[in-house]
Amino acid sequence: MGRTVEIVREARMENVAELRDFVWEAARREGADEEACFDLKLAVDEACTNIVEHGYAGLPPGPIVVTFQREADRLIVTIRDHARPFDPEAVPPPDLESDWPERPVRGLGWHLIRRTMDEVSLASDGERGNRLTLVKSCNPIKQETRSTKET
Amino acid sequence: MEITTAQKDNALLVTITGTIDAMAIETLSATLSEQIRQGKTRMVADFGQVDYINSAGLRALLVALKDTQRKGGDFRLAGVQENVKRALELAGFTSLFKIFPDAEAGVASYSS
Repeated sequence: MGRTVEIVREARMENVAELRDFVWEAARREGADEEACFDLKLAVDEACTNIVEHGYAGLPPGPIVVTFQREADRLIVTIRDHARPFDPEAVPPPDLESDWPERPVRGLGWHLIRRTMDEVSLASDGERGNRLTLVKSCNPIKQETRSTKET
Repeated sequence: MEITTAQKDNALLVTITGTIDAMAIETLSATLSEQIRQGKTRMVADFGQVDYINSAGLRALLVALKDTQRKGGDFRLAGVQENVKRALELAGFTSLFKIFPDAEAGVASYSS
């Protein structure tokens, strides 16, 4: 199992850039390719923006905890918060086909998370809050940082 | 994010620099809607210096496209970088927007 790095920030919009860049840099350090790094950055951005905008709407902002870990060729990000639980089933599937007059302007964020990630899972309970897990498979990925830092 | 506008021939060139995310949206949307209100409905957004866009930014582009086209204009993109292009593709936006290699070609597209 790879090293885990973590960042904790208050759920405010001005902190979202730091959270997404933290994951982008961690993925780069692990040798992930440009597209995988971008995809993780975008997915973390969408998830955290959603937590700030909807999860904590009307509530005092609590912490967002983002962890990054590499397991073999899988890059795993977890995002934890104590906001209102998010129900992805309530998000209508995006319309990617229709021409501009019919194209809806909402619902894109969750779609981008699903499109960019290989696995997405969400768990919520009253005590521990919400935990979103994002997995990006990444191949090939460099091995040398791992062997040198873990010995 | 920074945004400037300049009239070029038949088009309004909107030059955007930096990151288009939820923090930038208010400025971007306000600038675009004010220009459209003033009748500048033939726009080219120069994305040559835009390094990142998320769904909030994509929504603002879609709103600008709808608002300009409803008034007989268009909202065209130019100089789109790799990361932004990927976001446009993931969102299914590449079929909605006319995309040009650079600002000059975008502006010229309104003259032909």
